[in-house]
Amino acid sequence: MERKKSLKQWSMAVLLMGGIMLSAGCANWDGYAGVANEWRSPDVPEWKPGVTTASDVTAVLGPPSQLIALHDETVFYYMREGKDGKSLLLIIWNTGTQTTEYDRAMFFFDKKSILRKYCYSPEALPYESAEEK
Amino acid sequence: MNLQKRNEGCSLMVDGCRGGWPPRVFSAFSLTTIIQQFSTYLAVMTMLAGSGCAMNRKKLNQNLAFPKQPYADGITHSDDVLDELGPPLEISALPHGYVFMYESLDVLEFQLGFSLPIPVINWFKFVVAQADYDHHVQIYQFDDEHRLIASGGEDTHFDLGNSTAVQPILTVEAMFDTSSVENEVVSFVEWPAFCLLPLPQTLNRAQSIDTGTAGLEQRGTAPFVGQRSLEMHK
Repeated sequence: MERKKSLKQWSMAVLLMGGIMLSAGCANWDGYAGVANEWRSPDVPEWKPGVTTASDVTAVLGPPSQLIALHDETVFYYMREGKDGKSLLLIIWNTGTQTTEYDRAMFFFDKKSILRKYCYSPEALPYESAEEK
Repeated sequence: MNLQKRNEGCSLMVDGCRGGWPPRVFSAFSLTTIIQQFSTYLAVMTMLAGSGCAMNRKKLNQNLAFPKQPYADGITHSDDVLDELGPPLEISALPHGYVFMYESLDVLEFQLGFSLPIPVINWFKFVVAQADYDHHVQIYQFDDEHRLIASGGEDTHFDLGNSTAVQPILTVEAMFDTSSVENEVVSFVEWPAFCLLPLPQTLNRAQSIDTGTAGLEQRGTAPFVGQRSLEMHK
């Protein structure tokens, strides 16, 4: 009778331990938002301040994420957001980290829509064309 | 009765306590004791499994560039800033110029949970949590001639506070609402959404600091003061 009771306790313990082990796990995820970062393409043309027009830029990069009006200039602001996350669930110790980066390009045009200045962010996400997106 | 209790307390040396030699540790009696001890060990482990800690971390734009040399008011051109730091995360027109803002954020939440070995209650855990974040911001204001008028940068550590909760035993989730500091720096995919906002926010849209024509706002700023107070947030 006592042995039967012990066997039952043993089975319960194994089930419990199995349940705990099954509950442990890990996960990772990533995601993107915003426009395709065509400015990181190896085929992107050389932008020439004083020569390149707003039309040239939109023909290659597409519509900007934002179009910002300054007093005598227009800014085309391109942005791509990339999220990358990892988590580890060990029941007793659980940890998760999510990192978000912004890949950006900015073009300043004068009143005649001629490029005055452009720049890219030092932080870059892997290039992904609009077709892949 | 006392003898029996003492035997149980002898654990693995139970046969040795009885005087037998060599001790027969694998007898039926000792096996039962081992199983009982193992069950106790498992019960303790189960209680420990109900306890635990969790750490959630969220980093935004952590690789933000810093100026190698301080910029000089009236001399530094906006092109110099753009060449070194890249495009700002926010830009806004001002009455006689414009302004750039660069930001990065590191939010960290730590949770410590434990459960009590009481029937029914042991299916829940009691959680104590603490959260804080590091915020880095740089602002550069330029005149119509693209010359730097004013600039400022700051590294700040903010305490988001402490919290306690009772959760189902296998739940791991954030206990702090950090959306006020995590919102995208530029809500570039939400332009048409203002039409669906509450009326005070829609009416404030023309002057809102979200549009890039009326100023900037740092992350985590409470919406109950300043320009946003017109939006009547609750």
